Amino acid sequence: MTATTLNTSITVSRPAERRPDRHGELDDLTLARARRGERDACRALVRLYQRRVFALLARMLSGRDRQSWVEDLAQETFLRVFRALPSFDRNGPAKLSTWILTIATRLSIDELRRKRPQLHSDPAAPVPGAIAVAPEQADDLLRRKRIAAAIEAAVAALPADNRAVFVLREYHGMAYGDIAEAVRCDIGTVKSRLSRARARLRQALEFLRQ
Amino acid sequence: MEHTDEAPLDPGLLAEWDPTSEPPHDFADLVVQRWSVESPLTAADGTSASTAPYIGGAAESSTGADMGAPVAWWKASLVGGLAAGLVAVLGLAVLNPAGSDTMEPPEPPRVADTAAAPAASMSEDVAALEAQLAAAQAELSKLRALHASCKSSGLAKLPPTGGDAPRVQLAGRGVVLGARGAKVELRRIDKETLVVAQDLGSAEYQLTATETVLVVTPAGSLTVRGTSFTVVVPSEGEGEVTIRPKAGQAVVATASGTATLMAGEKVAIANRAEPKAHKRRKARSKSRLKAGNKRRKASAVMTF
Repeated sequence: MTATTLNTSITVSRPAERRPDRHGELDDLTLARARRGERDACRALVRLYQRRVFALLARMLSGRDRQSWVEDLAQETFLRVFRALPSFDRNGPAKLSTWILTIATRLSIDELRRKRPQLHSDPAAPVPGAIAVAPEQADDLLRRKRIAAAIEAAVAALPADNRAVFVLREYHGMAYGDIAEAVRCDIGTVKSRLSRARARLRQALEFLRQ
Repeated sequence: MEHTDEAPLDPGLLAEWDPTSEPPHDFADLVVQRWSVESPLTAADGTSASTAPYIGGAAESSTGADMGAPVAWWKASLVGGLAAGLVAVLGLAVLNPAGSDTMEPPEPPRVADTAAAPAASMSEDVAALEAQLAAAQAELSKLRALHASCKSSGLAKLPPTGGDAPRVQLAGRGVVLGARGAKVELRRIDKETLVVAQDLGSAEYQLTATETVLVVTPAGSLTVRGTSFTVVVPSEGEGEVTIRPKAGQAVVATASGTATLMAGEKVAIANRAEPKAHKRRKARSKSRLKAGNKRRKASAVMTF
């Protein structure tokens, strides 16, 4: 947050740079100004939610060019947010962050379906990384890296919808109803997909018990 | 209470996987710049793009150069023009409410009145201007699409009484002269304007109930009445003249008489090299010969 300090030592906050509310959401005034298309308010919105969008997209997408891919989709996500912002209901059931993550989720699922083939969609297939690690012989740093690699490989093996369910629940703490809305399915489907994803992760992390 | 079949995973383990990278430091600026290309943004002080200062035709942003300046410029100019027009109309209505010929000199604006203007009225003005802007943008997009289609299809606009087209001319109202093998497309833009495209294989002309189009070809002439039709002008001795009226009938006048055709009917040209082709067809297999006969029966053969 930037502030302008006057000679009389009075600090005046710019309205567009107001602090988010206690729930980490954009305040009403800045949201209203962003809806009107004010540049500073739009910038404040992006700055507040960009880390969450990047975190989601980075976990949804994988590959050598992930960084540029994530940036492109993040930009597209916020452009869609701005386009649809007038229709967002502040008093509706979804928070703004949930709404933005929903847009990012759908965008990434569409992108995965369009560009990247699903490599390990067979649930019975062996999980990559589950055999390759040797934790008892590795130091702690290597062990952590291998855990991360195992999780990433297991998540990357999930179908796009299941991956979205898992990431939104485990890493963004979204409610089942919001996840169901984001991936356009029933809550029961969300739970079953989450169950399958967790089982797959447990299989991938089985080496930790050895 | 929410229920899952599987217990949650250890958050400590899950936290080990953190592929998140920091967004670029100018990511927000990039997004806002891209958004400014799509939509005119409001300046930082709350003024709209139409009232924001301009330097050299480019909108000045709070962060410096604006990547979307050209687009924002014409949109803002349009809004500004509409606003100026609205102000002028309102000013005339206020200054000359009875519509008298003599006009009193305008009084200087009162600052207090301006400041006291209700916000609702201003929002209505803004909404009206936005509606006009949206209509203008829609019209502009239509014109752009039409222009693009004309460019891509090679349509050329010709004057109604001729032109410099080497092969196709408009000779008088509703008469098209086509040279040998000419392929003509006519597209009516308004009551007086026809667009003629060559070598596109068809002539299309929107007719009223009383209008007549005469298409002159080397093989004869066609006079067609109807609400809409398509004529494929053939080369001499080959091809077909196809008349496909979208509604109603089409009348074909030839040297041998006049025929009334319904939608989808075809008129075969009689003076093509029929004997030779017939002999070749005879040598083909029986099934293909039958198919050829069926096709010929479906067409009305006429002599021009």
